[in-house]
Parts: sequence; structure tokens; C-alpha cells
Amino acid sequence: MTSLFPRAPAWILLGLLLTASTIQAEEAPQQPAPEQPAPEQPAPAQLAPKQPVSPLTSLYPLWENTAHLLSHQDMYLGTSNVEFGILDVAQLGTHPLSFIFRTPNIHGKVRLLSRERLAVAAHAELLVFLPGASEAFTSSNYISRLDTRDIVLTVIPVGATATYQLTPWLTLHGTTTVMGMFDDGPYRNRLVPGMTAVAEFMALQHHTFRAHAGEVGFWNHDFNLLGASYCFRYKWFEAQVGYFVRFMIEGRQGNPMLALGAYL
Amino acid sequence: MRRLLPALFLLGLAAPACDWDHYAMMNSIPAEGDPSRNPVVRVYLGLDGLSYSTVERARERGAFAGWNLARFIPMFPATSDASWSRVLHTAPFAGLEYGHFDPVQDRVFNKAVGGMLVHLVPPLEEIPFTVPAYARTPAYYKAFDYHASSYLDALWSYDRPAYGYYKGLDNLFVALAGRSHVQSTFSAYVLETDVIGHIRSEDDMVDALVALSERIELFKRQHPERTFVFTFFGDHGIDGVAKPLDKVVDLRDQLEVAGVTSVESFEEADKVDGPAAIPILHTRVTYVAIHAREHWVSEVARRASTCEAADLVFARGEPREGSPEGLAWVGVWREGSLLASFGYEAATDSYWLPSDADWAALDLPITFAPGASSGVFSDETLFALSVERTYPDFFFRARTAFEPISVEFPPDIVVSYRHPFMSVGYQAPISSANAVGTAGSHGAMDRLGSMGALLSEERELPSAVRSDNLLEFFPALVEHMKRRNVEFFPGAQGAELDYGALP
Repeated sequence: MTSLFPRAPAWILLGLLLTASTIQAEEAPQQPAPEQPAPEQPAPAQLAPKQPVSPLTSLYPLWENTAHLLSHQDMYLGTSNVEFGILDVAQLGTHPLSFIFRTPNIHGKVRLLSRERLAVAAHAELLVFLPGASEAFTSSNYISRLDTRDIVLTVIPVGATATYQLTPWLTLHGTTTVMGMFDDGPYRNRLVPGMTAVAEFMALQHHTFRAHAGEVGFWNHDFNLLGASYCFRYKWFEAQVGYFVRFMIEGRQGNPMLALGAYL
Repeated sequence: MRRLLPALFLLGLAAPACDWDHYAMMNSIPAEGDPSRNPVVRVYLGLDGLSYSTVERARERGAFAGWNLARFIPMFPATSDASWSRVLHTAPFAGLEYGHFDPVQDRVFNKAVGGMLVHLVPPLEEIPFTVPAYARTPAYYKAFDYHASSYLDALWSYDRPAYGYYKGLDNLFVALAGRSHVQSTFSAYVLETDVIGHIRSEDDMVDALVALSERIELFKRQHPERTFVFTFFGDHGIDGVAKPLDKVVDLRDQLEVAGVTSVESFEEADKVDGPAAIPILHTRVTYVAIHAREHWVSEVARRASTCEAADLVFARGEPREGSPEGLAWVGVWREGSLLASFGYEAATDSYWLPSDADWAALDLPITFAPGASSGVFSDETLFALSVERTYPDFFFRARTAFEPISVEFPPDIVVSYRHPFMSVGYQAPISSANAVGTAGSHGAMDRLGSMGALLSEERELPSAVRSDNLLEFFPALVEHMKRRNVEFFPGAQGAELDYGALP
């Protein structure tokens, strides 16, 4: 197995983000009140129901995100994420099911920039894989390539995401992440960069389709990610379903994903 | 609050998918270990249906060059779930397969198609409700770090075995690469090799093994920071004999012709005027296990041996006149006659053989002292004498077929099929589906389906190894299984062999 796109993708993804920023920079002077934190890029729960809406959270964990934030005191309760909006500029959340899998975790997101078509957010996450987390699947048909049977592994991904509405029917999400892994041994302490991009096609009022791509590791390549997903939103209900493939040098891993959630 | 209850209900609906999230998370973290802590990684692969002949053919094409190869003789009947449990000394299976008879409850579980379907149910060990015992995940799965790659892996594997095999190898090598950062030993189980043997052909199986050999070499080149040492072992062979549809038979039909009534409980059997028995149709294999009331065992075995599909019929036997007391007896029937019977003495781990039996008909070159009516032979002698013959390790395998080792409720009689007959196992409602799985099979006593393979880079091997002894050869595998909290169960009495003393 070879890397799907060994070196170029990082620059392609970065280019997407820079292009988005450049376009935004050109448009910025035309905006009437660019400095206002007003919801020009409104939170999903606030969007008019006739508009197709972009999901609040990413479907693929750790390496993907969006720049969307919940409004103050709004809550999203989902299978993959529980999120709480704070002061319209920040959001605190967790992966609830991961606790069952012996992985306490918490994450936060802060808005850095909000323009008519561009939003940028910084985010960080803390996950602690307790002993046994690697064997905690409900079915032994699944395996973790990590072995944390006797190990506490702390993982801290920190990154930034830009969400840019290129056209009314196409939104791009680009995420850059540096993942820190900390352990007293046998795992080494290390930092690994990664970058993902999601192209989101707003097909109909309640439906969006997304294409996902990513690279993790770059010069010390670990895996590429390709995926496709679909999101259905109706009033307070949201369902996301997708299929992802991780391309490692040793082979491919297919990974279906499903997330259901409610905006409360 | 109005939304909270329906929201929680919907979250519950998504629960079965929660492994997907965790799977994505755990396989997206590029953690690395220090190679100096585990510079050598031992890899043990259990390949279902790894037959000696296909390994030899793969080696002729350059695969596994320099590896040590041994004939690996499984239990009889050579069938996967019971055999893996025997090889790895894990908790016994209720029957030889999911389809089995429980004499305590006097009931057959997982009949025909049911037995096959249970194979497709994904193991859900962590779900907080109790799965019925008759559908529980085999304990030997726990011995392996890797054994499948999705909920419905078994379904895809049976539907598209070659695709399932290569997809499985991808997942196996990804898991190996990740786990080798901290583990010195890695174990994995590959189901698809058995399915390829049943559904495709021996040529396809050889291709699969050659591809695996190439993948291993590629993997080693990709990971020069550690030394990977591989060992393979199988649970049985694959006979490679295609089964014409008219030879895929339901033994109950032939038993009826032979005058044996097929029933599903002892209670039913007791109501029958004449010999009655409980035949268990398993999957598409070349044996049928039968349970019968003790007083009917010999007669049912004799009549079953007249069935067209039967090569040999084994049954718990009766002591011969003039034999020592306290022996465990096995009788072997063919075409309505008792071909041979023998007794086993546990105290001396030796076999008492009468000289008037037709051993030549069993292709067993047994010689007696001139004029002797019987002889006593050691386990090693009989192992060496039979291992290259038509029925390898005949005596030990026949004897232990009726002992509760790796099988909680062993049968009273086992019908070993002749080629090219195969047990129908199940009748699919779509007639074309009945041709599935007829390319090859296993389970019978003869060497074609019995001769598994043991292949190792780790150590030298004798020319033949009894599968019960695998763990003696690979202590690192035992340690790994202990680390995985596998509960060990004692093996068959007298299973040990003094390999150094074998001729």
C-alpha cells in the first residue's frame, strides 16, 4: 500500500485555506460591519429553517472540525458529541460515548474570526485513554492499533479550523491540527501534524453531502483519509452518516460512521 | 425537556454504531513506541483450514522460503470451533459446532441453518446482557489480538471470500504495525482461508498463501526497526475434493434406509421401537456426529456404516474378551462389520490392540509378535506409525473424539464420510445456494481433510506435530494468551508426545 497523495495534499489543503482567506480579505472592505460579533455566520440552531445547514461538529474524530459555534447557553446532545455554547464566542464539549470506552475527554472551541462567509475557530481537546481502552469495544470484531491495556495514554490535539462559504451551495472546512501524545512509556512523547479538508455540498433544504480528505504525519507519514458523508437536519434533529477509509502503508481500513444528535 | 426524551431515544438507536466512533478514534492516533524495548516481535497467525498440501504448493512457488514446516494433525472430527478450542486449550465448545445436542437438556440447539446463522452473529462481549450459552462467542477468539474487522465480517467473508481475505489482511497488518509499537507478541486469526477452501479451489488457496508470503516480506521491509518472526498454524486441512451435488447428502435419509430412526431427543428415541439416534447435521463438513442411548450405540454404528456416504464409523466400544480391565474402548465400523476395536490405558498411555482386527484395511502397518493375540503399543509408536498413512494419528484422534476435551457434550458415534460425499448441513430455500461450499471440505478421519500445517520462522519443528501440543512449542504464545486473560483448560490425557523419541 502506498500513500494516497504523499506530499502534495498538505499544500493543496493549505492552499484551500489560504485561498479562502484571500477571497475573504478581498471582500472584507465591502462588509458593512465586519467587526461585530453578530451572527453573520449564524450558529446552526439559529439558521432559518429554509436554509440548508452545515453541521456543528465534524463526523470524523480528532482530525476534523468546523468553525461553527453554538449560541450562548444552547446545547447540542448527540451520540458523538455533547456541546454547550458559551457567550457566543466559545463552546465546551465532550464525546459522551468515549467515557463508556474508558476514555474521559473534554474539548473546547473558541471563535477567532467571524465574517460574512468566513469563520475561523481554534480548538483543543484532552483525551485520556485509560488502561483497557484499546480493548473496550462492544464487539471484539473491532481492534485498536493502539494497545493501552496497561497504559495511560494522554492525547491532546490542538488546531484551528476555517469554514468558508464558497458559494451558497458549497462550504469548505479546513482543519490544521497538531496532536500531542504523552505517556511515561512504552509510547514515546511526540507531536504529529495533520490537515483535513471537507467540501460540503448543500443539496436541499435538509440535506448536505460532504467529501472528506486528510493527511496525518506529512514528512513522517501515518495515514491519509478519504470519506463521504451525508447529513440530514430537520428542526432540532440531526443525523450524519458516512464512510471513511484510512490509507496506511500496511493497508486500508474502512470505517462507517454514524452520529445522531439534537439541538436543545 | 420536550426534546430531551426523543433525543435520548434516538441516541439509543445509534448505540450499535458506537464501536465505529471508538474504532475511528483508536486507529487515528499515530502513537509510536521505542524499538529498543521490543526489538523482536513474534507473530502467531491461526489460519483456518491451512492444509499441508497447499502450503507445500505455495512453497514450490517461492513462498515462505526458509521457514520450518510440519504436518499439523488436528483432532477428529477436524472441525473449526472445537479444533481451535483444542489447539489453544481454551474453554470447551458445547458441541463440535454451534449445532449440537445437549444430553442434559435433551435438546438439539442451532439446528441446520440456525447453526450456520449463529456464525454470522457478531460477538458482542461487552454488551451488558447475557447471550444464550448456545450462541455465545467461542472462547478461543480471546486468544487472538485480531480476528475480524467489522460487525458483519463473517457475512462478507462467506459472500466474497477472496475480497474478505485481502480486506482482512489489510486490517491485520495495520493492527500488527500499531500493536508492535508496544507488544512483543501479536496473534491473529484468519477465517477466510477456510472459506476459500470450501467455496473456491485449492489453486485459489495457494494464490492466497503466496500473496500472504509477499505481504509479510513487504511488511518486514516497511518496518526495518524491528524483527518480525512469524508462525502459522491451522485447525484442519481442506480435502480439495469437489463435491457433486448428488453427493451432498442428508445422512438422516441414509440412516432411515439402514433402519435407524432419526430423532431430536432421547425422549423421542425411547418411544421408537428399534434403533434410534440423534444425528447432528453441522455445516458443510465430511462427518456427522450422532448421539444415542448407550444400549443402541453399537447397533446404530453398525447400521450407519452401511450408509453409502460412510467410510468409517467410530463409536464408543465394548471390551474385548481377554483384554485387561479398565481400558477405554473404541470400535471402528465399515460396511456393516466391526473392522477393529482397541482399548486405551491411561495409566501407561498405551493402547491394547487385538491382532485379529483388519488393520491393513485401515492402512495401518501394525505387526504383532508371532502367535500373539494382542499387542500393547505406546502412543509415540502409533503416532509415528500412522502419521503418514491414510488416517493420521488414528488411535489418539479416534479415542479422544468421545472425550469431553474442547467439547462439553461429545458424541457417541461419529460417521466419517468417504470422498466425494459431504454432509448437506443445511438446505437453502434457493436451490442454487445449495451448491455453495462444495469445492472442498474437512472433518473426516482421512488425511486429505485432516492434514493441517504448522509453519514457523521461530524454531525448528519435528516433521509432524499433534495439534494438542502446539502451546508446548511456543511459550511466547502462552504468555501472550495469559496477558490477554485467556482461561486455560486441560487437554486430553496422554496427548503429550516425546518428539525426541519418535522414529
